Amino acid sequence: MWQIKTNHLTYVYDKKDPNHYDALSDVSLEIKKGDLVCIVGKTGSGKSTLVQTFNNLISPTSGYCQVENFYITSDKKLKKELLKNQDKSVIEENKHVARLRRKVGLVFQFPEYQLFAETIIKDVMFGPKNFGLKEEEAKEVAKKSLIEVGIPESYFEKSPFELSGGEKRRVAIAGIIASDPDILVLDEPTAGLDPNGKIEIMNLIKRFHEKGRTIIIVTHDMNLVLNFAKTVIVLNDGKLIEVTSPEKLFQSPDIEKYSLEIPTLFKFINLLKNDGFAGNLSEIYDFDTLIKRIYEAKYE
Amino acid sequence: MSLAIEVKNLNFSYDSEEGVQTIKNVSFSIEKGQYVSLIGHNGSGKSTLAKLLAYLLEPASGEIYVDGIRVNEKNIREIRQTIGVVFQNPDNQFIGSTVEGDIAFGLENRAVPREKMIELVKKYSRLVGMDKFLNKSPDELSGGQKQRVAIAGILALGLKIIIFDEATSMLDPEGVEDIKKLIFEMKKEDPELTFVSITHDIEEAYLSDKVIILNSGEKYMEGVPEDVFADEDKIKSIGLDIPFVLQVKNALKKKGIETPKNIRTIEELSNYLCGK
Repeated sequence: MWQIKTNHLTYVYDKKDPNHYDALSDVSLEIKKGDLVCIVGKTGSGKSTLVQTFNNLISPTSGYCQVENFYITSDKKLKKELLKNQDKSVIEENKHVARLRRKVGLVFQFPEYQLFAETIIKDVMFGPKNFGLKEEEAKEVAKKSLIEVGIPESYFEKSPFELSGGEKRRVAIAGIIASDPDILVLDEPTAGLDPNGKIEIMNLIKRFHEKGRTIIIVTHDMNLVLNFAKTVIVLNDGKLIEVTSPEKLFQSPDIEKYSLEIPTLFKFINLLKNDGFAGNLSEIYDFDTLIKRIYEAKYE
Repeated sequence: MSLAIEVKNLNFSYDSEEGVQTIKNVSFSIEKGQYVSLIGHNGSGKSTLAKLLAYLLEPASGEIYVDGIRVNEKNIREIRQTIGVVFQNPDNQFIGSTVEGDIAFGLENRAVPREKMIELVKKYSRLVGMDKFLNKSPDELSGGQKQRVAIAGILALGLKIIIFDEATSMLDPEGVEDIKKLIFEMKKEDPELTFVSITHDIEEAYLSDKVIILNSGEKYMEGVPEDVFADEDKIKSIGLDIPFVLQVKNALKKKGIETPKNIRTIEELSNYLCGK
């Protein structure tokens, strides 16, 4: 069952600009509830624009995005049409963008740059307070979120600026999950982190996913796609190219056409194939199998 | 070859009262024309070190020499004619109201004649792929585009030493490759151009002339990549990885398959394993 759907979604940033172009063009796709989706494509392919329509941060210029019963479009006529004959409850729900934003938590690229409060706990409380929670309630929710992202209680009254890069990012993510979103969207969550920091963040995201949340990740990191994604959405020049699995994507001859970096493991396997390696190289998805196959080719 | 950078017993702490030292007694040297990768986990002191080298922070003690001149508060202006840093967060360095204005900012400060300035802005905006965006304001640009602008602004200055502090982290792989190629082209034109890359990209580090690893503010290792990455356990013990080609070579060695020492790329390793 889908949870997010886009229907002929097109987005133009500045229509008045004589050089304007479609940042997204006629994109129709569905994202299943509970899926772990990676959205990939080169810079300017429309990845970040697409995910910003999911919580109505921007509205499609034409077509629409639908998150459960919430319709997102700047085409007023279309919205009226979509809400025609709908239940009163749906019409009422569509009046409250704040509820949608609670449902769809959006973590921007380098979220740590947006930390601002004097203490970690105050920073995380900011979101829940904005959604109407009282001071004490917000504090409780913030504490729970910080513990969920692995920040110990002894840190709560510290300045967020004293933390390392990975810790800051976890605090920033805690600020978003404090609103308990059903859908968590993360734009380049591992950019700029060291290998341990990347693993920490991805394990954290995996835990959210295991709790039943839908996870949508925008990324250039193809090793992350290979190891974590269940579904991959490929965008190129604002157009949807395909919705596929990581295994199929990395073995597709089209991958280089879309300027996606093949994970080093697959790059190496392709090189061996092209150089005429005398052994079985089919269906290798991990490092240990690769080594085993090289050994077999040499000695068996 | 003479030295582009020399650091002796450098110490620094953001809050001396708390006694937490961010840089602890660090010494190293970089020769003119070298491509050096500075690596280490988040919080190891890499960015602090970059700021100290450009004297954006003042050391608590120790000495920094840039192009043979000891850096101090009196010669900052002179030093910054030689060394420049592009930082990770492009929003903190975007000064102009447009792309054109931002690339021109450093040139204006150096009183570059107008005609020359226009020529340089055109040249470097084209080289980083931003020539079609010259009139755009920063809020119309993506993070990666802003990083390209910041890179153009530094490259246009014609400095002898350039430090990239994760300066391409918001670019897609094709964009990162484009910038790397540009740096190599510039180094070909000027063999004395020294480039320091603060990076998490171990594959890039493996192809550098030299690698310096920081750990908890201290110099952990320094040397040519083959020597530094040879000690897999030492590298992994501080949460870093070794390059893929070495991972394969080491795993094969454990199974009794030896590969030549001089293989540094997956292309070379594939050729060897295929008997080419």
